[in-house]
Amino acid sequence: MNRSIVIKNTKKLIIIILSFVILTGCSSGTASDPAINKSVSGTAADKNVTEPDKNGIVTVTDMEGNDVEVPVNVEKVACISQSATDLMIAFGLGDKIVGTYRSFTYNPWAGVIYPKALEYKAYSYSVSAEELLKDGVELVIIQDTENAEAFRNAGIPVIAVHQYSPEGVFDEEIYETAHILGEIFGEETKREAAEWERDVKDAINEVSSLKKSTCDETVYYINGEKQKGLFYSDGGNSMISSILSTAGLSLATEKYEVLNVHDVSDEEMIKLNPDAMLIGGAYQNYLMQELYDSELWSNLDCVKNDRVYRIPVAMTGIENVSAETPVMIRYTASLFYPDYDYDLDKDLKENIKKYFDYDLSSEDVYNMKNAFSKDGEVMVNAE
Amino acid sequence: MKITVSKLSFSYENKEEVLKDISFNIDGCGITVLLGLNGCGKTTLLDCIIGYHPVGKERIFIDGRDINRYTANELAHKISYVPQKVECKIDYTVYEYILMGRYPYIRPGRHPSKNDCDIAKKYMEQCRIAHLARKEITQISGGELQIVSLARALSQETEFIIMDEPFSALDFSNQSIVVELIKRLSEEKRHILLTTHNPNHALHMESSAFLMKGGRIIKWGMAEEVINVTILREIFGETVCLSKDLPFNEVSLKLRRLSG
Amino acid sequence: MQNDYYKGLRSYYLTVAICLVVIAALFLISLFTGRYMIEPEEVIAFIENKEIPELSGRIITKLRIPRTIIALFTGASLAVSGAIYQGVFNNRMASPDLLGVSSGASLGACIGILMDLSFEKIVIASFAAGNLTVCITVMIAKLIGKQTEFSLILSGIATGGLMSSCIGLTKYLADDERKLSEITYWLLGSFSSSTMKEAAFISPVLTICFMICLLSVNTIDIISLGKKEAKVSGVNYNMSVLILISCATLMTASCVSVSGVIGWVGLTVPNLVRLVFGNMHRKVLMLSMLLGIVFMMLTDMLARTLSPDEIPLSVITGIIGTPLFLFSVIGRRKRDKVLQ
Repeated sequence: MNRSIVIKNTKKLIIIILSFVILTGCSSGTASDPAINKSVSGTAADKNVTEPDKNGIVTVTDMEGNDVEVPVNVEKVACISQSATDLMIAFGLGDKIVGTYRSFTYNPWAGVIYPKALEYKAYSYSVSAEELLKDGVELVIIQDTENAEAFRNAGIPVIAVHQYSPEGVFDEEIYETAHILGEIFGEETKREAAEWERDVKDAINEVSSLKKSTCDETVYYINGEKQKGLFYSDGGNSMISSILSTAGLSLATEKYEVLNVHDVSDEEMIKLNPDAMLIGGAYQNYLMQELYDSELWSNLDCVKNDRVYRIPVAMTGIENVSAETPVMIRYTASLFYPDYDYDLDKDLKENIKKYFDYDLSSEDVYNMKNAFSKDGEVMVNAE
Repeated sequence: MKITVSKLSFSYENKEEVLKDISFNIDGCGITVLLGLNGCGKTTLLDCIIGYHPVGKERIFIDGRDINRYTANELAHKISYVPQKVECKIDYTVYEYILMGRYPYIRPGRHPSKNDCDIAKKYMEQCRIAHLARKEITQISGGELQIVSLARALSQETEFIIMDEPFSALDFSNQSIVVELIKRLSEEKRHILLTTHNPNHALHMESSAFLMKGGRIIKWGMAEEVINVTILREIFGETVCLSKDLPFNEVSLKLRRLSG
Repeated sequence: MQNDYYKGLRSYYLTVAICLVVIAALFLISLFTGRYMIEPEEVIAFIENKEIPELSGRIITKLRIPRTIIALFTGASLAVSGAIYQGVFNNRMASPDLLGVSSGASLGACIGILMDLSFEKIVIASFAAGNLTVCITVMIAKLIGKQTEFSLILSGIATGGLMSSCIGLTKYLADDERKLSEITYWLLGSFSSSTMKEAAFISPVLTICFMICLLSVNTIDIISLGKKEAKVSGVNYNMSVLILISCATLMTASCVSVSGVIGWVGLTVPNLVRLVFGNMHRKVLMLSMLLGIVFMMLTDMLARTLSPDEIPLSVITGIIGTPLFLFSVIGRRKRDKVLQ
């Protein structure tokens, strides 16, 4: 009878061991199984783009490395990315957009600068494939690919665009969304994209020359696009990190290659002790309040030294990859180099005029700089 | 029909032995009563015989064949079992519950046949519980449930019926119903092996009796012959006051006030 | 009285027939409901294999048929596995959720997502983790003591809690931009990215499980009587329990790995069936399977028609399932009173 107990226990043991073996088996199986199909690669130069073939299909490699077949002359695009929407409108493709990411529609400036944006539908990343088909969407450009499989199943091509580099630093990738748009929409767009790229590079060159006057301050960035709190920031692979480094500055959270909300804690914040802070997005007023209300945050050196800066919200928060990127680059530098002769109001006015053909009044610029709406109210969802 | 137990010892998970070197032989039809105090190993012995506790080779034989060499289904055709307490917490109706006694005869996935239903009904009436048929087993009293459980074992129609304390939850009238039922079954060429701690049941049923104490069978034989004041005193100790009135086949057990 | 069983069977067969008709009807309806309006005529033309507009055809074949098939299998397997757990553990409160199996299986799948495993491997990982959870749950229940009815649920909650924490850990480890939203989204259950490939992968597995379960309905009855009685009633207890629990876990895990965690189905559907049709597992299993299908197909239709976004399935099953479950519990109390 003792034997039977032993047998019972052995049975249990075998079950447990088997389960473990299976679990570890599949994990080790994939560890040695590199991502074969996804050639996550860098620059636009080595992009594998074919000319449109007879069937009117162009193959575009998106920012996740997928080769996507897109029909030429797509007319209806679901552009579920604020950054890509901004660029599309700037490149004169606003008519082709059916819907955009919902945060974009929360920003009242979009409708002011480009009235047609008011007609855009607000999609979330988990919008249903049928809804897109109902709206006649022929192409999805999306930042978060959680539901992309469903769109592909529905026969809608999906182009992934990101504002983060999968590995390393987001440098050349700044231009990639624009390049992809060029490949999809043809020569005219390619020219627009090239001009924008030149503008961005000009701004970078202008700012780079400032680096000679030494300034290696660290900057903490709060992303106020969503209401995710003061720790919602970015890591070394982000657009903001790249912008700061062009001006010889560094992002305080740079060491986190990919930053998660929970990576920085209260204590970590004290240790980081940044020299300055940038707050962007539609929620910046709300977050500003939270920051000054918090004992910890309000006692940080940079807050006491009054070195908390806002990032203007135009068509989108200008720290996004967007038509406003050149402004962002110059504006950031101007904050840290007092000698740098820079007029944000003028730059912003010119930029918006150039890309969106809209004349901003001085009051408009004031409101944008404070993340207010055109009527001078705190942005709708800032409460 | 024969059950042979030879030199059976048993202990739970390396603890002290509950059964010590038990050997006996039950043959033919009739009633066998295992008599003893709580904790003397009666239930454990039954559990070994029904195959619940695994035992070593060549310890228990059913019809001359080692119990370990029976499949569960073959054993179910030989032995049925009435537990002391029904553990099922799912509220089957009494009828459904009794019908389950027929399952060893039903092939996997098949319905019970009409014949199976008739048999279930027959035993339900024999046990006088037909009026309970549609009630749920979780809703009837403990005594009723014990009889229902008996009816389920009966509908399994095996030669051997093993009952663990079948009288424990029964009131007086139900006790006599069950005693009569058991007597009738033994006349129908069934053999009933049951445990009890009341010697009168053994005397009433004119059964053979095994008297157990401390994991051993200390005496066996026909109840009337075995059960006497001396042996009962040995089993029950000095706490009971015994007298045996032979004409009525009854032992009277009285609580004796503990001295001190 | 001997006709009781067969009398009961008549209404049972009638219900099965009705359910089958309803399922067939729902299947058709599900083909023309959705955010994109497809006329019933087009669906009929599609079924008759006639020419229909390319887009409608694509929506039917690529979106609606795969997800309806997956909904069908998911509803059936969750409900059946719930019924099996209840029978085998002799406990009406048992269900994939309460035993922690769902959490365990989803932990396996979460780890799979974190490691970028292929779909098949995710199924295997979640099956292994699900089985491991059942083992842990049962062992803790044994440690807690004899009162198995409560100790099982108690240990299920404890194990489930542990698994949820581990899922929390995987969420913590997942990077914000991509995998976290994938995990979060998937944890609430969704059929949105169902493909025929997934359906083709899980359907044979689940069909085999259904066959095994439907063949062992009598065994489940016997097992529910308790170990001792089961052993004397001709059931190889340990082996049967092992097979049945593995089947139920495999069913839960397969569902979890294709459509995420969908709560309440495994608890509510079998309990409703038990309330109306009694506890013989022959009926409970078959009807749970059919009603589970109906329930899940309706849920899926709501999830994809009510809003432009996919509504997570657990949100809907929770909202519908909780009152239904309470109804089955209260209904049972009331009926007992009437009987007494």
